[in-house]
Amino acid sequence: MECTSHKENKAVVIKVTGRLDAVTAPEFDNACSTWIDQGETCLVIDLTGVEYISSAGLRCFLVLHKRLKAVSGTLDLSGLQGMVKEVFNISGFATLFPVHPTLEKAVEATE
Amino acid sequence: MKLQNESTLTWLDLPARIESLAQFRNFVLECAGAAGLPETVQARIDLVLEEVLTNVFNYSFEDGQTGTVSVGCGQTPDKKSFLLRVTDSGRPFDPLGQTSPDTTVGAADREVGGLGIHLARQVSSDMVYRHQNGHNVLDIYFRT
Repeated sequence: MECTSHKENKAVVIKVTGRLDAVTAPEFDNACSTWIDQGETCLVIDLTGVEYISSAGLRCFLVLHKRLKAVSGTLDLSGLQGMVKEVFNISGFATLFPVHPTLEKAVEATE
Repeated sequence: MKLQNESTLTWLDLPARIESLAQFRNFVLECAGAAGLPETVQARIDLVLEEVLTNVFNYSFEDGQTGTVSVGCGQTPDKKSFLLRVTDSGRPFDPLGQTSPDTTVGAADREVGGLGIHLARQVSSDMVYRHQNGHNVLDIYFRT
């Protein structure tokens, strides 16, 4: 799993690649939490490069959502595909967050 | 542990801890590949294996106590399914006896957890648990 992130207007865009599993989830959580700790409230997470997600990965999104909600922030997702999309659908997580087909659309939604 | 109907399974035993996950994964996916399973089924097996194993790592053994987990896999004798069998000698724990999380409620009401076995049940064809000879035995079937 790898994370790269940058600011785009008021949003923090975090691009994730690889596997979001029980081993890598804490690392992903840290990468996102660092931004919230710094006072950022608008996160866009792009999962285009993610090939695998388990419940450990899903949990990160729930925790992030709750932290952001507490500071009136937003969490937008983009690029879900294949098995990742299926896991979001089965778990009901696809309806918990705004899910956009592309990163561009997700960033637009935050403006 | 030897059980009936397992002549077609191959086995790997490792300590019940998260560091064993990658080795179990390589072992099972190699076995699934050798059985000629398509990638879509292998992706499901990949997910179920993690969910089931992390469950055993977290619940079957008391704090500070590490036992052994055995994972067996292979085609069923009728060649219609791929069987993944996970056994451990930890405390009796039936993962299928837990209530499934409500997947329709909003984020604020969502519990952080309880999702893993729900996902495993949804993407596998069948899951059967039994406690036998002091072991937890979980059979997971994938129709091929």
